[in-house]
Amino acid sequence: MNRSQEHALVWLFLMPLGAAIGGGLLVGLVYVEGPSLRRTLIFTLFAVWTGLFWLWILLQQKKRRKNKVTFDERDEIIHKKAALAGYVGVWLYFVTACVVPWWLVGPQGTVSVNILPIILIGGIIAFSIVQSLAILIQYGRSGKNGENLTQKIE
Amino acid sequence: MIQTKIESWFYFFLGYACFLIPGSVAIFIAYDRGISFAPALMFTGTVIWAGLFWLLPFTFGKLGKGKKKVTFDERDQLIQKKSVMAAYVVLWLYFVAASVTAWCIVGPHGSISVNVMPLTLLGGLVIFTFVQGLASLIQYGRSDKGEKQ
Repeated sequence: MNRSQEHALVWLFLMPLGAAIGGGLLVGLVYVEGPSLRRTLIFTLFAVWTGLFWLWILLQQKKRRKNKVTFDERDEIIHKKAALAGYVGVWLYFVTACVVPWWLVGPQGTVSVNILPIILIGGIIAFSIVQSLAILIQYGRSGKNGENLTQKIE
Repeated sequence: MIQTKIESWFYFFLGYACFLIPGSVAIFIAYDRGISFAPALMFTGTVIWAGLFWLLPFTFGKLGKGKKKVTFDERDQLIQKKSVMAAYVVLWLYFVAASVTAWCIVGPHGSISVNVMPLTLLGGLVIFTFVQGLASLIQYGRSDKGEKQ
């Protein structure tokens, strides 16, 4: 298992858990204690950061590539494809999350405004799950450069 | 002007009409006559189709690989992928901004009309299409592929 696969496996469990706990706590705090600029700013930064985290990783790896090759063109393509797959998943999730309440409540009804940040947290979870799974699927079961195959031959 | 560039211009201007009209009509019908299966399906279909429309050239590009005339090559694919990625990044920022703004304005104990949700989705599609078209046109530049200015 290479480094990207390990990261993807960690993110597959860590990111949904972190988003659910962190985001849920922030929404809960705002609901109980009322909104404040600090909490709203933290929530906004949290949502932006988690949604665009893959971009930061890509840029960091490109910087590191100059010294030692641990992240080549193939890894870059895999990460970009995974991000696209993640966004497709998020889009389908958002469509479902918006149409289902519209259908259930009816167009004359109202919903609590807290549903919007909760849907956003759900979007972060959906994105991280689809992206991590896409990375793991693209790398396959064997490591980069066919590590398992080499072990079998030895 | 190459075919993909023409498609980008077409998408940039006419793409809105193709999904904005049926999407808005579906929301209006549901609001006016009450929610039923037809407008909900019309809206869902339009939104999914418009949001994943960018996948179409890749599918047709793969299907038409055996053809003699190449109209969608690797460079076009790269441009398309980069544009879609840029559009998705902006779309994410839009969803964050829309959710947080409504949350702040109304307050955590307030409520909003449920129609805000499909309308937010339509707004997202407008932004997605605009950024994607703009990014494609910027990447293609003013000169045409394989032709001197």
